[in-house]
Amino acid sequence: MTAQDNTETVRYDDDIVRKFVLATVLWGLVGMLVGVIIALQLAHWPLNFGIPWLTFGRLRPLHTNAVIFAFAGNTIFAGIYYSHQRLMKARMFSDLLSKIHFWGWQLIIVSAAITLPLGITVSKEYAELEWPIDIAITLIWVVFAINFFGTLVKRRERHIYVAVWFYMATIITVAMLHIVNSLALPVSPWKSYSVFAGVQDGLVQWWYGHNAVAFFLTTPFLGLMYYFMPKAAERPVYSYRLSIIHFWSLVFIYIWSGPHHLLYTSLPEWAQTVGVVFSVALIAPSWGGMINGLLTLRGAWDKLRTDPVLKFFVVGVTFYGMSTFEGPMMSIKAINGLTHFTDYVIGHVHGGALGWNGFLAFGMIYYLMPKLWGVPVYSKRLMMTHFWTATIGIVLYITSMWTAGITQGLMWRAFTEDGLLKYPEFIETVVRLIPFYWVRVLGGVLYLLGMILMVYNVVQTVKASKAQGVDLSDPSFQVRPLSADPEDYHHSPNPWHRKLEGRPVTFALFVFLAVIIGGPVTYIPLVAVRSNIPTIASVKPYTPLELEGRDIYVREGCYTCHSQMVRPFRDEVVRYGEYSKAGEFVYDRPFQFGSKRTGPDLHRVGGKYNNFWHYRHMLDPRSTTPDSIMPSYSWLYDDDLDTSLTKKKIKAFKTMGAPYSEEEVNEANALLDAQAKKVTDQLVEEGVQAPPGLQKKEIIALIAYLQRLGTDIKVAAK
Amino acid sequence: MSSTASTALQENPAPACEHCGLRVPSSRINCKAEKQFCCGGCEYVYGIINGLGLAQFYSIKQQTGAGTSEPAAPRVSEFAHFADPAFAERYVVNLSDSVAEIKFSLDSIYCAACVWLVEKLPNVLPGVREARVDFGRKNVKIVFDRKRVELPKIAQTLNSFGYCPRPYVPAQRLGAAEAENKQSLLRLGVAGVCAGNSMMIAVSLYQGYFSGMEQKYQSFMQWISLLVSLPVVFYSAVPFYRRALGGLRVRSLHIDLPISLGVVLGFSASFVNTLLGNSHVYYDSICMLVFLLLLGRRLQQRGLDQVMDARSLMYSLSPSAARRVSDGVEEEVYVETLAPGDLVAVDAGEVLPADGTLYEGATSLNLSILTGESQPRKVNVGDEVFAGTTNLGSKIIVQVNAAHDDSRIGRLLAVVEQASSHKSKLTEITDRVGAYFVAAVLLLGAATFVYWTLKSGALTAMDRTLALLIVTCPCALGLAAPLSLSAGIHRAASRGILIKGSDVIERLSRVRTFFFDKTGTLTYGSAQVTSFYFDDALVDEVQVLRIAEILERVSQHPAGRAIRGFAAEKLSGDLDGRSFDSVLEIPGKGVEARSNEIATRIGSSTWLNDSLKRSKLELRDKVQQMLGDGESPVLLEVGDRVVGVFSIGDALREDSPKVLQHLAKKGYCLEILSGDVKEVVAQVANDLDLPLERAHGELSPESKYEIVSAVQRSFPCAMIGDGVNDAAALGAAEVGIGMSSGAEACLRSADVYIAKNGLSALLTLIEGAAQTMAVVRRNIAVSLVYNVLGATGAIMGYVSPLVAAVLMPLSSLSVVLSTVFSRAFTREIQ
Amino acid sequence: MDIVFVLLPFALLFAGVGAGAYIWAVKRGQFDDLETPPLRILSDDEESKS
Repeated sequence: MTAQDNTETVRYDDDIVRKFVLATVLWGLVGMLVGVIIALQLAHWPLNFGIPWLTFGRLRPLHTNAVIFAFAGNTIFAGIYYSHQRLMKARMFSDLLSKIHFWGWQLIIVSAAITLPLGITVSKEYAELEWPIDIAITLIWVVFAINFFGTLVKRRERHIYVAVWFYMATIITVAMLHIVNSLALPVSPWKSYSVFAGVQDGLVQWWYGHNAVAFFLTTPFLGLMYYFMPKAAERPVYSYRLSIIHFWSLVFIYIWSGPHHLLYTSLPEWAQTVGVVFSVALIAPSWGGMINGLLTLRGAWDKLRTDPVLKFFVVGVTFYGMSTFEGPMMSIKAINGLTHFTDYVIGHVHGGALGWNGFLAFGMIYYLMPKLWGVPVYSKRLMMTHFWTATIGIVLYITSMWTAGITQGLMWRAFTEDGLLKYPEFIETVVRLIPFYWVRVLGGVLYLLGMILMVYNVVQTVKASKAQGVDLSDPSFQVRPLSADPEDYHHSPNPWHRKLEGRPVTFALFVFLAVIIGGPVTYIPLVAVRSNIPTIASVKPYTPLELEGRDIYVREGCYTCHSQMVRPFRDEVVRYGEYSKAGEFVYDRPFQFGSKRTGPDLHRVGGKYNNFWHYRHMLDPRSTTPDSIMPSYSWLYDDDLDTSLTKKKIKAFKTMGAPYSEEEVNEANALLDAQAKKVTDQLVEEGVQAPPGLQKKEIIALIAYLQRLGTDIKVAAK
Repeated sequence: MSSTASTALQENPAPACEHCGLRVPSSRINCKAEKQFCCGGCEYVYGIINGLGLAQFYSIKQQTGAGTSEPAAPRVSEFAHFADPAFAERYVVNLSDSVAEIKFSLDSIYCAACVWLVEKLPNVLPGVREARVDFGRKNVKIVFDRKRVELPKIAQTLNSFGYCPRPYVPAQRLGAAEAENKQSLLRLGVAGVCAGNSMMIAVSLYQGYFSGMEQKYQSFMQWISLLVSLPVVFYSAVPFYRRALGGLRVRSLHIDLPISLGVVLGFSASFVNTLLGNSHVYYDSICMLVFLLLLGRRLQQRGLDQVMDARSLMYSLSPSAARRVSDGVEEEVYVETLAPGDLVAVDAGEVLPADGTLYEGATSLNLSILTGESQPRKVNVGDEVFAGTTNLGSKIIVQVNAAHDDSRIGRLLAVVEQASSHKSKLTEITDRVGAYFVAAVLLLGAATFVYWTLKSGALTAMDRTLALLIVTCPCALGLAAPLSLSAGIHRAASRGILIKGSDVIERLSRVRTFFFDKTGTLTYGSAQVTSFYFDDALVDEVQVLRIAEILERVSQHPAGRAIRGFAAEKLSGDLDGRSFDSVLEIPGKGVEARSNEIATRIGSSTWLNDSLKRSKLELRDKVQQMLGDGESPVLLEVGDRVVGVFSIGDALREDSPKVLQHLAKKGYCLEILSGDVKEVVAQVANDLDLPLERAHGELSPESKYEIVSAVQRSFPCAMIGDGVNDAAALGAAEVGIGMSSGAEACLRSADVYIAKNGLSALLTLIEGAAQTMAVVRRNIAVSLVYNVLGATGAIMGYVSPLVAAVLMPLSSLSVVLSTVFSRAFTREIQ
Repeated sequence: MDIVFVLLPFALLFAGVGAGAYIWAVKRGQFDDLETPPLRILSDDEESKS
């Protein structure tokens, strides 16, 4: 019995990691490029070129989805596939599932890159993808979960390292949150309506939206930090006990975050306060993670001078500390009143995204290159330049956004001595921010430049590896034997379950069943819950024409610059009108509160301007507001309104509780044409030389919707 | 000479040892080899590790910046006694018919590379299934297949890696501690989840209470928080109920009684309010209370667990192996199998495995472990010898008459364990004060309930009583004393004074008499060269020291080692590389060396008496004077004349006189108890100008124990000592204080362990204890005043349960703040 | 705001899953030794390229 047969050789699957690393680098470049483009569009509106699929409203969701799910997504997959195998001392559960997961995820990204610019969107921030893609995401995520937990079960290392716990929390939470946040009733392959409406949809989106983003951008990256930072610094983590404590405190109460996106909105106050208290408490686990990360370098700080990987990790963790300090601070109601809807939020988001996620990804990739391709990284100098350009880029980005945000917030609420708004015209605040938008563009360009340097560096490294013909076969590793009969030591917990590994099919079936049963069980009560919000009597559902107009509003991504939520502040009531009540949004599927006011709030725009003003404004915003940075929407005047689905849409709304009469459902199209005629006649009356077939055009539906916004409660007031 | 080796030599004159990284002494430099080693042990271990292809050990060690370690000293032993069935029965746990598990403690594990190397055992030794290192507790759990590998083989491999395995505390006691720890972790975790979530729900309820909330949401939230608090009330809080009921059964009002009452009543009141639909619910306060108390108890328990129990100490003091001699053949056996009458061989430098009588050979033994005296005692055939003592001379054969637990040291340790266990109860004083407080609260509560039911109905009565119970919840009192005491302990620890248990401080403040052990406490304890004279006509100082150092290099004798240290220090390191060709240590006399030109001898004054007569008059007076002072002279003789005289004694610590005068000035009564010779003790007494009748000499450990416990019966006294012989006395005293240089047994039984050497820490301890007690009394006063005000407020109805629930944490907070800002142990007293 | 009747239980289900995982971890002895794991990950094995 030689020592050799005392161990078993296990081969890690590093090929999948190489794929994910390359995908990360590719999609990072794409996502950041789109980011720079939309930054330029904000600073210089003609860069929208008047092309529908290049306009800001449609590119902004592409940017957010690309950097979150494509760039950050592939980063965590690369990091998890690499570290999970080594922490569990076992190959991934099934190579096939790994491949399905990789190619499936890239397919989802490509489908998003196609549908979003075409305006196929659900308009729920960071979850804009339509229902077919949502289902695809769920399936691929289940595949990933099976593969991950399968490896966990057949692990050769008894202790589950804290990083793996973070990965587990990520997988389970994102699965649940994604499903609940994407519940919608489809009316066509690329159109569906959210199961929830108005304030409830808002709460579900942000109660789950924040968690989906946080569990996609915080917990997995903390897991990566706990594996890659000690490995790069060659020092054990500062306090393993602290990492355990801050993990469990995070998991136990994490589900309460979310309402802090809806402070001072028409959410009941008791729900808002929970969000505030939780977010402030969240600083403890977050900073626990930061301190643990930074202090891991005690005794090895001098390495920071020479090792770019450690530079990226340390600055990344510091940005994590910064943005998780900012978060709780911004969720304090007084501060939120100032920062909500302003660019300050964008500063916070990018401090975390560019600083924490970006730098951790760069550090990890530079750490993995030599290990995966067997050659040192092509140029160390390039890595250092990438680090410095990216750091300066972030600093420029967030400082410009902080200043823009505070300027915006203060200008909105400024009153003159005699009680009048100091800046009554919203455009005065927008014009003041243009210089900051240019500084942001510079910051974004520098960050993109750094990314380009990285792509070049990676490509050259891969080339060098191929040139040297480095053997890239999977590394093998001696591991303790997988005991033949697991019963032989029942006493101690035995991770080597030969039984279970023998029947992967049943295990996969078991998980699949759980998801199949779990889904409907949670889904049925949701539909059954009729949201009998105390409806304001005068609030009626949208007419067919207004509904189609609303869908155009959603398609063009107007919510990315306009909000529909007047807050109970004196300046907003004076500027916009009566503050928004919960009852007004009952028929809004999905809700359009929005989270950014580049343009003014639209919830009380109904009836403020005549149709003719809207007609001219949408064609050329400069004609009505000279310095406007809004892109022009000329294709609304050329394309005919697609009314093929109108009947089905009204029916869907009826099934989800909207009080349409049976007659309104059947006569939907007739009603639409009648109202379209009325609007066109009014336009002609106000002096528009109506081009032929104007009544059929999309602009008419949009004008009808805009004129209806926020008018229901005025009806009651009369 | 291979070129690389020589160049390596030139570049850094003192190369680092390949294995442990320490400086290679010039005498060990081997110009021919590429790799230099500081000692034979390192070289041997280096060969083994490389032989088995585990050279990665050194790259990991270098990577993780583990720095240098002590030189590897693999024990020269076959570990045959591990195969002994009795050994296996006590230490090995059988998992199944073929697979078994054993835990070894490995002291020299100190870095990631060591963990990696030890866990590589299965790859090197077929039959070993798993080797799992626990870095914190410095042990390794080995799962092996009994049919394919034997325990001694495993032990030998580990030993060859440089980690000498010793059996870890027997399996069954370990299992109990682990199970209890898991149980408390579970309860704490559950309480944490529920407390976190119920407090979040409470936030919405509080906000709803102030700015309006529809009834359906409020009752829904209340039902949810009821659901969330169920695991806390019916699982996490169970230990409180058990202790409360336990206290009641023995008719004492345990401090957990009001806590349990608070939880149960709070829960039932909230349950009633949830049913009736009104807004006062306290689920969050209850969950938070249980969570915080469990957390506090767990942190305090972790502090006490640091103390290793005396049993496992026993294994480290006396060896687990012995070499039994049966009809001329030596065979290594497990110590517990030694029967009275067996013959056991003990080599020079080894520790005696059992009590017995000397059967063959003559030697000198180091009895410091038993008597605390550093002077070795000569023994010859027929004398009584004891387990745990070290054989300084040549090989001897001992006839066993008592082994292991019933050996003298075994019985002594039993006394130690028994003495230290009865006194480590948790916060004695809070229980005493708590009992009266609890009785008062219960009476008051009952009275309030009856009074208000008569006066204005059950509902207000329930509210008032509940408010009273919550506001007077003993959180402040329960926290007051333990918090300030543990804060004191924590600060003392940062000063190098480790106090084991918060009640020690209270007991220390009541002590008026201090007993001091001499050796190691008042004095340095190790043999020191106190003075040194030489005949400057014949030799110069450097020559004398050099010769003395070379000679004493061979000797095991403490005096020899003291002289060598003294010489090395005086010559500041540049020792003479040469060595004499024939050097012989003569036990009880000294060391004799002969080289071609001169014959030199170093040893006791009796052995070199005749050549002393021929030496300088002045040296002879010095020798007489040393004997007078109770120090032992060591003479260096070159040719036929004594050229140098070293006086070996046990010097007083510099701060001893200052400390004792300070204590005397403060009116404490000070006494010395020592096992040393009467004259030496008297000498030390008058150095410290203590009255002679206060200094008792030639005391055996048992008699020290008698004196201290006699005095202790009348009034509290403290004992300060460091030897195993003081262990029993330390246990008996009201407060036992162990010195840093002391043997582990004494540190085990001591209530306070002073990690810094020197006595000045004793003053900081005494003054700090007095201040901490002042803070405790202040905290108790604050919490009592708060409770009285709160109770009256609750009874009169001004304080509603909701306000009470807010006041309760505030009271605890006030106690915490008053402790944090206390000055105890902050000042270092010189 | 009736959504809370679904959001809250679902959220607490989450906390329950977390608690379950915690209990499983304690029972399986994942927290017995919190000093060695960070060291163990540092000494990954030299992967033999064969």
